[in-house]
Order: sequence, then C-alpha cells, then structure tokens
Amino acid sequence: MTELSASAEATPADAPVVSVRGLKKSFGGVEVIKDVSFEVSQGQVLSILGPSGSGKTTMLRCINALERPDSGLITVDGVSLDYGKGKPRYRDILAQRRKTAMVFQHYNLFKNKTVLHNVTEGLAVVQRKNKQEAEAIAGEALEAVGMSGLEDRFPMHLSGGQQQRVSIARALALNPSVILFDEPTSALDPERVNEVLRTMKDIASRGVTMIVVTHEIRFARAVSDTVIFMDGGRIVEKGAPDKVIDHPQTDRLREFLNSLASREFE
Amino acid sequence: MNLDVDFMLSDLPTVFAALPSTLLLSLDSMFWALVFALICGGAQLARIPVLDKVTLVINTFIKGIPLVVQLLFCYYAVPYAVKWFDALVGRTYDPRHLPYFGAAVLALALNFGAYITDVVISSTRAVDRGQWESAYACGMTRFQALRRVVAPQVIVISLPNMTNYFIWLLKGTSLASIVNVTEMLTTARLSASDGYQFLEAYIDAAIIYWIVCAVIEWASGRLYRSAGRYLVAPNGATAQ
Repeated sequence: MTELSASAEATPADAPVVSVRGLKKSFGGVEVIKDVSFEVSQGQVLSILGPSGSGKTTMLRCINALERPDSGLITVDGVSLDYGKGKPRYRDILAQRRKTAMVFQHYNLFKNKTVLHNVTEGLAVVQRKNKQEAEAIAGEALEAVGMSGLEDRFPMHLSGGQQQRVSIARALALNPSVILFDEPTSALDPERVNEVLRTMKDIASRGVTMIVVTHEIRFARAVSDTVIFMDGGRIVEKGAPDKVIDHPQTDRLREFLNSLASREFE
Repeated sequence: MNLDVDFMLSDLPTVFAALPSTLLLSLDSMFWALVFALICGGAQLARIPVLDKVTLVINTFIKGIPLVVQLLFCYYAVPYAVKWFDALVGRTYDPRHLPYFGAAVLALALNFGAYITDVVISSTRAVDRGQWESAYACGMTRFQALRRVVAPQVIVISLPNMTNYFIWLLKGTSLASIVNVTEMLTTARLSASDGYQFLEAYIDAAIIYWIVCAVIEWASGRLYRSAGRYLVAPNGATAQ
C-alpha cells in the first residue's frame, strides 16, 4: 500500500508503529481529548483503560481517521497526518487507514455478506487480491479465530461472540500494521466474553500490534505490554500493567480500579 | 340493464392487447422517477450545498399538486416546449406529431420521483452508520463503501416501498388517457364506445390491472425474501 501513501517515509527498525503527538479533539465546544501523546512499537499490545467519556474511544477512532482531530500529529507505519496543518488530503487519510484495521464494539460485520465474504471484501476491493488469493487468506484468518466451517453463514445467524471473532478475522486478514479494538467485549453476553478475549490473546501472541480500549482489567494485565489510564481527555497514568494496575499512583486510578473490583464481587 | 358478459369476454383480449403500452409507460416513468429520486435523494443525503435545498423545495412543490394537474400541465406545455426547442435547433415546428407519451412520462416521473426521493433517503438512513464505518475501516473509499456495502442493503430495504410506488404508478398511468396517450384504459373506453358497454370494458381493465399488480407484488415478495435472506434469523425473526 506504500504506493498510495504520499507522505510515507522509510520506517527505521526501532521506530514506533503508531505515534500520536499532541492530539486534541472537541465535540461542539467540549474538549474530549486534551493533548494526548503516546507511541506503540512493533508487536506491542497497548491497552487503554478509563471511565466512560474519558475520550478513549474517540482517541482510538482518530487513529484511523473515523474522527478528525482538531490538532495533533498521527503517524501509522510511516504515514503521517498532521491535523495542525488543517484538513488532510483524502488520499492520505485513505493511506493511513489502510495501515490499520478496526474491531468495533458492535462488530459491524457487513450484514448482507456471508462470513467468508465479510473477510474477503476488503482484500478484494481494497487490496485488489484475486478471488482464490483472498479466499485463501480469509480461510487462514477464520481458522485463526476458530470460525472455520461457518463460512457461508450470515452475521445474523451467529452469536455475538462468533460475530466478534469474524470481525477479528476480517481485521487480521488485511494484515494491517496495527489492529484497533474498540471495547470489543462490551456488547457481549458475559459467557461470550472469554472466547473473544482468548482469540485476542492468540492474535497478540502472533506478534500483531494492537491497541485495545477495554474494561477487562484482567485481560489488560495478562496481555498488554503497556497500559494507559485516561480520564477527562488526558492520560493520567501510563506504564507496564503490573505497575499501573497493581500499583496505581493516582487517587483517580485507584478509585476507578476499586469501582471495577467492587462490581466484580457484587 | 344487464351486464353483457359475452362482450366482456370478447373484449378482454382487446383490452389486454394494450397492456404492453401501459407497462411501457409504467417502466419508462419508473426509470426516470428513480433517476430523479436518486439525484434529489443523493443531493439531500450528501448535503450538497444549494442543490439539497433546491431539490427539497421542488419536491414539496410537486407533492403538493395533484397528478392530474401535472399531467394536464405537461400536456398543454408540450406544444410550447416543442416550438421553443424546434426554434432552438432550427427545425420547422410541426404541431401534428407532438410527444404526448413523453409528456405523460415526464409528469409521472416527476410526481413519483418526488415520493420515491423519500424512500431513497429513509432507506439509506436505515442502514446502520456502523456499516459505513466498518467499510471505511477496511480502507474503502466512500464510493466503494456505498457500492459494495451500503447500496445493496438500501436496495433490499427499499424494495417493499418501491414496489408499492410502482404499483401505484402503474395504476396512475390510467390517468394518461386524459392526455392523448393510448394505454389500457383508453383502449377499453374506445373498444366500448360502439355499443356503450363501458362498464364491461372497464371491468375487463380492472381485472387486468388487478392481476398484473398481484403478480408484481408476488414477484417482489419473492425477490425480497431471497435478496433479504440475510435479515432473517434461523428462528424466523426478522431484523429491523
């Protein structure tokens, strides 16, 4: 896809895959993201925790330009968009988007397409792969999420957990530089949460770079390399999971973790 | 006075022979109504400056005037339009061959186009925002997302409404008989005028209209069930 990325530069080996600098975003005069910066290296898993309205989903959606930040510099695998310089060109947005893939809270599978075609669609339409090639890649991706054998089903005919695994396969098949997960288990029945988290853990162990907005503290601790805690549009704490989750430094994070813990034991 | 059943039966093929012209008028009008509706609906959905407001005003204007008045307007405006056009291209105006069929198509297409605009808009909005977003997230352009993901769903969602409007339009073509277009109702009237057996001829026409509409509705239902099978869960429950 590099031929599409006008502003692509050669990425040094140790350079971060995703870099966000000075990100700001408001909705109707309310600043939901106030100057957020962070980086994610190749193969790393970054989890973003925080209460509702802390800006974590909005921030994630800025990384694939589903939301347009007011200012900030976002680089994904060498493709940079500098929102401080005004509205970026559409082709640059596309180029950056094609470096990413996203798993949505409500799965958002293409309703009118079968499981197989949900996964092949992007490969065929965006990456211009031929049918055999696309189906081979889709087969592997569906195998990886444990959805082989259900290729001809429509999303409506699957459970929420299965739909979410298909949507992970769809993201994986695109072979993006980073997969963005937006609260991937929040809409699921409690019983279905584990199958999705297990799938995500498998994907992470393959060395796929992931940014995960989640409320699953235990998942974040087990799988993440770095955890960010956001509140009120800012990063409040950031670091290794055993540091941030087990030894919170701020009252705000302690309060947040306590509220999650007390919910678990109710 | 008794119903002349013999005439009713013998006249049936005569009236039926005019069905192609009714269908032609319907399909022609429906095609242009769809073109009109896609332009108006597209302008309003994409919020194209000025054009969205203009189409909105035109549509309320069209919807506020009876179809008969529009047909008559197009009918009486045709000579002026043709005269003007002939002068423009330097042709001699010939009042003997005026395109009344075209005038009827124009009136029907604008009238139904205004209503179908609403179907286009509501059906497009009925597609979940998440469908666009996941297409974008896969790297698709706006046009690819529309063509590959959204439009196929819009077509299925709009099919029942479109069918209703098409049936309504097909019956609406009978009004074209007042503007010199020989369709099924005109043919029925002409065939009955010798013996004043109008009731019989109109019953024939009614039966044919009814059968044609029933067939269209049945076919549309089948199409909807097959194209929309993704909407039906295994237990038979339907989404949306």
